[in-house]
Amino acid sequence: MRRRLLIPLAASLALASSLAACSSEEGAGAEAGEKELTVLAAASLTETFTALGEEFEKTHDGVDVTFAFDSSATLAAQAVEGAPADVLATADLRTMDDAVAGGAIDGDPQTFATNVMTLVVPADNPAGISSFADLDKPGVDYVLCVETAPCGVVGAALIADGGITADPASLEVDVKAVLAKVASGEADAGLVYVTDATAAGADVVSIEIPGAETQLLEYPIGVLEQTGDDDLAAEFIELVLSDEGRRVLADAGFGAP
Amino acid sequence: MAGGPLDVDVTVPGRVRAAFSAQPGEVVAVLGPNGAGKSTLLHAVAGLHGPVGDIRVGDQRWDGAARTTRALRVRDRRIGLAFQGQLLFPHLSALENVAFGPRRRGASRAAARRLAARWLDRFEIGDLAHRRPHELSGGQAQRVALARALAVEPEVLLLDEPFAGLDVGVALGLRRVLAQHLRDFSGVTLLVTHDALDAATLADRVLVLDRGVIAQYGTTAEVSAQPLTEHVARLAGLNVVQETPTRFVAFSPSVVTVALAEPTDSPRLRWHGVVSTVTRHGSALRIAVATDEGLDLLADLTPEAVAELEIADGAPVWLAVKATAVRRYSPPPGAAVSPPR
Amino acid sequence: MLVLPAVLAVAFLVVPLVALVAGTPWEDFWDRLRTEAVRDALALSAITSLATVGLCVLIGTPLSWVLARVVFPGRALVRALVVVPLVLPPVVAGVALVAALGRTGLIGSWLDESFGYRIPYTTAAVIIAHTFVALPFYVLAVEGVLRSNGARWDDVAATLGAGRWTTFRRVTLPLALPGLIAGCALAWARSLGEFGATITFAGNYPGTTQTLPSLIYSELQGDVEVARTISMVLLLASVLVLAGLRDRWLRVP
Repeated sequence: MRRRLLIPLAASLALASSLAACSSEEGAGAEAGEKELTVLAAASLTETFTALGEEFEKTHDGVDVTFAFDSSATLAAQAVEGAPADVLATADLRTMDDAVAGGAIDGDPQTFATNVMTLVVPADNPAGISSFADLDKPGVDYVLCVETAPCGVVGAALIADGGITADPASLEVDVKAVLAKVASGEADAGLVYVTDATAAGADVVSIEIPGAETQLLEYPIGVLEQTGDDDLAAEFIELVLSDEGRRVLADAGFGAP
Repeated sequence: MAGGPLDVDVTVPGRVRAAFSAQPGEVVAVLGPNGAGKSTLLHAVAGLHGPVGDIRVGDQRWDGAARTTRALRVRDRRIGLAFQGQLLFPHLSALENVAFGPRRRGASRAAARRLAARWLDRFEIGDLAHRRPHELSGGQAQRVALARALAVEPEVLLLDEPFAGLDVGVALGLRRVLAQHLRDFSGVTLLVTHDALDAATLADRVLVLDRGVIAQYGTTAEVSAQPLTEHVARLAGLNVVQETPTRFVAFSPSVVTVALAEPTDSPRLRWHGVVSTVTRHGSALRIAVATDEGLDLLADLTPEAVAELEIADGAPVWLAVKATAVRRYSPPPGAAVSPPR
Repeated sequence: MLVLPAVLAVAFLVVPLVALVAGTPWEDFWDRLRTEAVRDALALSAITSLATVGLCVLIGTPLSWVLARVVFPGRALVRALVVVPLVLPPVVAGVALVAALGRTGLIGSWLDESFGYRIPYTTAAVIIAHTFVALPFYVLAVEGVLRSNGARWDDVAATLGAGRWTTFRRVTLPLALPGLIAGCALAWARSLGEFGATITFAGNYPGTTQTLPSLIYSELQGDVEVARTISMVLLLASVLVLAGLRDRWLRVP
């Protein structure tokens, strides 16, 4: 149990997690690959895109797929500054728009998935929360994403719509950090995406947020201007949009566009 | 503030082992080569080495070998310790340094300062009261250190090389002032020094330390006339030779004759050796000779004689002394005698 | 042979800072500092860093004294343990603090159950996290000066009749003052820049736990200009500390 709690906690450290992801992918690719495909993807896509990447490598001999998972805003900024990568997938349209405006995207981005937020509580639910409105109960420590992150914008809107007046205990830097705080029992509740709640499995219990679908999050994907291989990038996007891709995304809790 | 006689029997393992007594009002010069344990002995009496054996002042027990009572803590011993290198508190003025002790001994702030000012006046540095130690010369700082040691009205005064590192003139002035205070001081004073002049002008008795043990302890006159160690013999300006384990011969370098050939008239007191140095000594030249037996002897010659004998470093020579020109003596019973070095 | 790498090293260290100064949006520097979020974070950083320094002085000074003066079995071990947070990645410090003082932590769960007191998400948690990482800096600085002053002044004071506490107050402390000040400056700088342990253990909420570095990190995803402005403030604070310590570190022997 202790170990399983620490893993999401450690994963919450955005820098550390993205570094770890990079280095392990690179380590594996150094031996086999001739061609390399680098995908910048929102942190919430970590599990699905890693699975799709493996699938892609299976059908494309000699191709290494490398991922950088981070917050969408960070990735969009990196894309605009010319980070050497081929594909960008963000967790909202705004950050993708920034990338487009910055001239980083070749062609039009396509929406490949949707996501909604859900309330999660620790498995033992120490604060006895049974509905979204319970966040207003005294003594409840709930956490949100910081409002500079897309998940924070959505979370704040849902809190306002739901008439919750209590302030959150903390504004975490990304949704993984929110999940980690809840999963480890350091917070009574938190707002995360359905996909994150699905990934956390039995560590957390999901409680539906009324009207969550009004804050539907759309995931766009596009080929980067600086890609060295348009075709390979397009093929990866094809895989994401294919039935196979849909299935993997749906398993993780994503909705169809 | 006399505490009575001082009785010491202490051992600091590996450093010093010493037993001696001194009467109130006496000044005991502690002599010995570097590393002999002079400062260690002083610090041991002060209690800075923890319990080290038996120390009594009058009927007050500072440290008990029997360990029936705990050794008196350093701060509870009435000592005035003038450390080597003064060790004035750098963040306090001269006045505050001297007032520190009386204040800790219960005097009010004002009274302690008045007392301190009086002590600085006695050491003729009243006008420097508000200077910090780094604004004082070596001699001035030493005066402050002595005033600080005396201001606590100690029963035992411990002075560690008070004239070390001072210019000759400065040391002379300080020696005069200190002599005055030592005359008025009714307790026991231990004065660590390496200068025979201090022993001669300030001390009643001389305690000679050699390699951590007492080599000789007696009145200044006794020790300088009948030195038992080469170190003290040199300080007294004498040659000393141990003839038998219990018999010593002392003689002045001026009575030594030097020859190139083996002398025939004096069968016993003659040595063959090699000249190690030639130095000026007053109007004479003093030659040091390393003898074949391993002794270091001095001889004073006129420059003419040196020229005539063509003496130079490394020259082999014969030394001889007339039996009538030497003093023969035995160490007092019980003295820890080690062969002179 | 050695000059080129040396020049490169200097450039490596200096260029990013110059770029930061150049990249700071100076024209509306003050306006950005006047926003509520920045003001809150500035005030919180000021309060928590000063409280951290106070706490360091309060508990770090006795610890330094014990380490420098008292001989006891296991002193080397204690000293090594005390210094660990110095080399520990701050994030690990945060994880460790969660494990100890978090709501489900070793002591934290007991505090919660026994007194209903929870440390995380409070300003106190920020100060605890800061003190955890800053205390070793303070202790090393103070212990260093206590050690180099040596026990001889204590001996002098004892021969003059001073007890331990008087000696500490009247002699040891005044003589160690330069080290104390340096230790405070180091602890303050470390506290001001603390981020990893704070955000992991204390959280990130404006006014209670969001310090300047946490705000920088948050704003990097939002308004980069604000992030740069605050970074500039922290750079200035660092330079200030360095200027204060110049006699210690910038003097070429």
